[in-house]
Amino acid sequence: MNKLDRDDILNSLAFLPLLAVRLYADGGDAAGRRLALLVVVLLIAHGWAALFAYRAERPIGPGLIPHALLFVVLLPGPVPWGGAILAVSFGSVFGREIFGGKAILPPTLIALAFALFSFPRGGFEVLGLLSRPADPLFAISCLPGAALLAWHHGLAWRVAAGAVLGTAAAALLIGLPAWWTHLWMGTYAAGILFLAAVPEGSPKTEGARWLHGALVGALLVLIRFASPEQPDGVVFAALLGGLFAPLLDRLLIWRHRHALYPHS
Amino acid sequence: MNWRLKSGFKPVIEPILVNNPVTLQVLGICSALAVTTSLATSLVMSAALICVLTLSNGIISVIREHIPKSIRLIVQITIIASLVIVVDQLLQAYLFDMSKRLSVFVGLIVTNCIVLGRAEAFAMKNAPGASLLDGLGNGLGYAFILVTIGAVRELLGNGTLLGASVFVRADDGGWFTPLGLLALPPSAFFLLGLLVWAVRTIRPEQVEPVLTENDGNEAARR
Repeated sequence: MNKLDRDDILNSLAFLPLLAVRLYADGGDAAGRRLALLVVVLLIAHGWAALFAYRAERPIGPGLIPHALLFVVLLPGPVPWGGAILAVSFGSVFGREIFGGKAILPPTLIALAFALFSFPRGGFEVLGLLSRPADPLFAISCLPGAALLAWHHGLAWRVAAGAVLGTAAAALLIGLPAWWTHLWMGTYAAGILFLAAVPEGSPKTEGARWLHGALVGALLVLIRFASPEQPDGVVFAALLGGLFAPLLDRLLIWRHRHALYPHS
Repeated sequence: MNWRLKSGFKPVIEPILVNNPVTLQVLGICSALAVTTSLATSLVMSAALICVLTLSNGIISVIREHIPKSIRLIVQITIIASLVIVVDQLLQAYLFDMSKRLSVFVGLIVTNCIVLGRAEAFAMKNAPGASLLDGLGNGLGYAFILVTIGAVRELLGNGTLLGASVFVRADDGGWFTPLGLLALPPSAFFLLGLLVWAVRTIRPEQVEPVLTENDGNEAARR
């Protein structure tokens, strides 16, 4: 078994508790629909990957199963299928395949951002993202998977720690009471751990990871505080923060180089 | 494909696909992002740019022998700006609503790189007839991209074309859910990227060689 397959299996294992909690919360018919959607999303993501791999005469890149799992898990409540299919296609093509099967940002993040922009009232925010309920069970179900991934270097724990600090700092600065409740509101835990702290979306240097996490955490509070249309804000905070990741890396490397060779 | 239908029309037809100012030279994309929310605004903007570009190319070409080299850019900009003001005033006089929807972007044709680019690269060196055709062709090339993006954005973002309903929206009992993303500027970027991709798939000679990090370093050292 090569390294890439191992990463896929680890990621999928990490997301299984989230899926279980979601299915339990859905119950009955809704759970069945979510599972069916998972199959459809998986087929579509695989279809795009296979098409591009065939055209470019390269092997299919890794990460399809975790991508589909995470996308379906982070969708709150009932979702129009057409919208979900469009969103996952957009995420697969623009987040992954046009860059040769390697993701710059997590394709799941791009798919979710597309969904949130495109269907602000179309069912994507019916339950979870619009009302932003406190969901401690969902937040806790992220932790074992995150620990497993962090153990195997599939997740930057510094980003997650930085995000908590950033959230606290921003909330205290704005003057919000009980900042810690944000940690289990909406999709905070899953978003920070699996959208912001994953290798595709986070910086490579240790210092930059702290900064990146703090930026995402602070942005998240700012979005939740300032925008009534985006009460969850996790996806946009992770998206914006992810775009800054290469710059933060550069900054840290420049600073390091300057410390070593001050006159170069 | 044989684009040399008649050598006289080559400068008109070539910039539409083969040497498109937007997809090949990537000029004038600011307005391509800003005014393409609907097909109507795209069409009016395209018409405005075609007028300005054709006339500015023609006028600059007529007086090209008399423009002192050192102040040529100032002269070109003055001519372009005058034409833009005329077009803007005409729009305000006869299409006031459209003029309000286009807001500053008609005025910003002054800063459109295609206009100044054609003046500097073509009209300063060629006879008025050829310059007129070149301006028309490049204007049509810009219009082709704008109208394509505008049509897709209005159709998928709103379900309409030129204000007439094409897809019945879900709110009115139909099946179509408008894609909110297409009403926002980033979608024009994505569509433009897809268009560039499509054009370069049809014409692979437009694909630039891939630069590695070493190439950049060497260029910097040179």
